[in-house]
Amino acid sequence: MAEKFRIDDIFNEKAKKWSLWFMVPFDFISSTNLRKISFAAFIVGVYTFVIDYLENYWLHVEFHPPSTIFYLLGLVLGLLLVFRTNTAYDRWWQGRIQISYLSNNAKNFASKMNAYLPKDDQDNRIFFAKMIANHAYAMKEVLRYGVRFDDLIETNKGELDKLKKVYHVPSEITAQIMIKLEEMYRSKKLSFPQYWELHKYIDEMTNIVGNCERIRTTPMPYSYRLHLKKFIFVFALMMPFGFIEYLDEWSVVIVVIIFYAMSGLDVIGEEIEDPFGQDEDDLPIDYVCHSIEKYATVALKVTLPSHHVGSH
Amino acid sequence: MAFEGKRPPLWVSVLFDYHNTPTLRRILYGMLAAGLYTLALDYLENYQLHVDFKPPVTIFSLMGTVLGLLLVFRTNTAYDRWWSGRILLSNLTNSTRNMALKINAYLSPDDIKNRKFFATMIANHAYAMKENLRDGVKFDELEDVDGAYMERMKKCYHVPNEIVSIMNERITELYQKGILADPQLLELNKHTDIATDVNGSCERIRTSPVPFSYSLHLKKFIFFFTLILPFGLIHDLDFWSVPIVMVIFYALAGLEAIGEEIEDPFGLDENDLPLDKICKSIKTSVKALLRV
Repeated sequence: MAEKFRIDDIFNEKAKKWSLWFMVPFDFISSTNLRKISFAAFIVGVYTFVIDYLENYWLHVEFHPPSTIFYLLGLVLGLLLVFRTNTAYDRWWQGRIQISYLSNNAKNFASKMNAYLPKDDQDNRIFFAKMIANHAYAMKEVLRYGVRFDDLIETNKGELDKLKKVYHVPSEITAQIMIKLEEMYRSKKLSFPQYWELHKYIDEMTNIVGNCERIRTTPMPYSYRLHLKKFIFVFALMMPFGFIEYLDEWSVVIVVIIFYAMSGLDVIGEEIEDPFGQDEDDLPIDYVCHSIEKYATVALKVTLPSHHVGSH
Repeated sequence: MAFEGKRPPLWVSVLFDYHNTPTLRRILYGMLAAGLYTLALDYLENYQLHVDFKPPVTIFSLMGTVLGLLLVFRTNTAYDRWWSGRILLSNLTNSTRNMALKINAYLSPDDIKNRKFFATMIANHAYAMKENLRDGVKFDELEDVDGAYMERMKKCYHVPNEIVSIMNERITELYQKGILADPQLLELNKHTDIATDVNGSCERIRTSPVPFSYSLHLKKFIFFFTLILPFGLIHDLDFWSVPIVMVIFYALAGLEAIGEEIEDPFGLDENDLPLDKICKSIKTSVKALLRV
């Protein structure tokens, strides 16, 4: 039985499973982000406890800022964190949109080439299927730590060695496709409107790579991130003083919960705003690249040499 | 095309019109648990232990505001998916109508064979896309043309894309025979691209719920908020804090649950988009426009 597309292959099943509410308190271990924050929250708890002990049983400094101050500060911090969340999520979602455009574009390109090329033109069919897949695989790793040439498909010996020398691999692949189209147009294998139509896909390939690079290389401005972290830090340092007077040891609970809720948002934001890696919340790029190769070969009715796609 | 939406309910009847979906039913259990928890806490604290853990109200006001803002974020992103999904479906409807009326003008009135081919394939694409977004294509909804394509559709990797490929092949064939002129080829290629784009974008919405860490963090936030909320109320309100906690929990968790439900708008739940009706309308209007 040939491989069949199933929508749920892309879908993160874990999200469904864990959406049960009563599991919520037990999954601190399952998520790396939450583990990181849990540790920080623990330290803040210990800090509160120490302050409480020193103040209420030893020093009696009587520094008791009214709790309305924390309300005010917390409100501003909350708004900032929502801003943080929005911008980070926006990058994630824009990245997702670009990845789906990559896949749409590859499908359209392959489908058109299939219609335009004669059925027996194996060489060109293999060329386009290979190049469309290679473009996706090269882009995937350009967005991580540089192209892995093992991921790319080679049908003529020496092709990859030439690619290794170029500055920007996805653009070079697009350039080679463009040269091939130009040749085909000159030798009348493509008509005027077909040639024109195919330019659209070339542009789109370059644009998508550029847009993804923009998202990858532009986190939130450094000043904002720094200010936010300082804000959270100072807030956490001050918070115990507001509560130890009436709550005594119980203030540990309150401070930890508030700290956890606030810093969690910051940590998640940081994680989400670069969506092209392989963390748990990152986009399913590996799957999308695989499906692009699969679709290009199916649409162009060719088979490509099998290759192993790994990761750094 | 008549759309039978729900009639806007009267204000009073809203109270008794309970959403009958699994996600929201789960909230009911949550509410019940929050109520019982408050009751137990109230009894233990006020009648047995007297620990006197009384967090000041400003804490809840602070946490509640941040939580509220987060829930608005959640609602916005989920609704955005729902609405983008709706826009994509209307783009598909528009594009299929345009494609059909253009083909109708390009082909000669007695070219029944090609007219039938395009009418069937355009409708097939919509139906295949609909079920592909659910649990896989239902082949009894698709129609064959001249007994030539059913086998191919059944065997392929991705049915909607294969149908687009079949259409592209036919369009190019007509172009090479001289039936379609240069600009006509370009025009029809535009519409086959839109078909793939809409399908791919719907798949994106279907497969990308809000990042897992966010939905988890939000749930956890609500969970801890509900955990300490009773302590702020039981000393003043005694047993009356039970309904207050339940109402607050319902309002907060309800938003999260609705977000979870509407962010996948292609299913068969109450709030999902009317995919079946849209497919039927595409099929009918395309057949009418192509005069078959």
